[in-house]
Amino acid sequence: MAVKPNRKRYILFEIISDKEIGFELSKRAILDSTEKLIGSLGISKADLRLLPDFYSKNRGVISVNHDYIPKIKLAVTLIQRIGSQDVIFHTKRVFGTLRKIKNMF
Amino acid sequence: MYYDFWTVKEEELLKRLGFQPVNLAVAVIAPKNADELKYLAEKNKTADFIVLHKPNEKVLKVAVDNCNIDATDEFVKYPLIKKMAERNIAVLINFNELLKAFNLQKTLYLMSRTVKLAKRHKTPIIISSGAQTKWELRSASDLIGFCEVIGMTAGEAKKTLYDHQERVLNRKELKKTGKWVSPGVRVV
Repeated sequence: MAVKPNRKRYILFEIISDKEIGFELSKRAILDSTEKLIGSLGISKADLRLLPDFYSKNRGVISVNHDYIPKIKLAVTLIQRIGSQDVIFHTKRVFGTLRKIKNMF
Repeated sequence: MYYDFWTVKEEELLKRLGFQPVNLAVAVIAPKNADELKYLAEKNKTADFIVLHKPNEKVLKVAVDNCNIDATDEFVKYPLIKKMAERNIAVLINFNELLKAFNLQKTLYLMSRTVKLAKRHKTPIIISSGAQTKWELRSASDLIGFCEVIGMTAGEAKKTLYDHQERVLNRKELKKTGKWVSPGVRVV
């Protein structure tokens, strides 16, 4: 039986805050919040990844299974603080390929 | 064009998050009994949009019967939600409630139950960030994503950000021109 390939989508997000937030801190915050909402099994099914090459100046890209886009969006939106910083997590757009996003960085 | 009625006045940030800032007098009232409701409704008569914040069942019943309000953020159940649909009173989903929720699971469940009932009885649904500080604001696309999680389709989710709001804005314009008489009655 043929196995369906994972239909990936790329969520471009922006963190609105007073200071710049590092990649590791944002990754931790995203994973913690997502785990709180959909659990470890959900994360593994969503195939959630934060792409390090596409992170700069509080903007980044999350790679996720297309079925989980609203759930991941909600999980990310629930983040209110990273470290001691108040933040607004703002998901800007969902892309189907990385090629279009490359022009934005 | 998307609107967020119950929010802070941060026009620049609202535009950045995909909302159209509006100049609307929004009154959030939280009466404890029917007499207080009557007094607060009379006091906020000039407000363009009145939200009843977390009322008890008796107060909500009186408010719906007398058409004193435009929306409520209470998780309404069956008989009342049908009455609300008849009187064009909206169910308001307050995202801030989720941000401050002690029990996230229960709040999500209650929100999805309210959405399910509102869809069944065709009650208008409004979603709002309910922000008290600028850090509690959320973007339109995020609120749409949230609506999809609590049981709406993408189209329905988008509607919650402009459909009923446009009706309220139209009513405001009618009031300005003196053509608005009472709910359902206008000078033609």
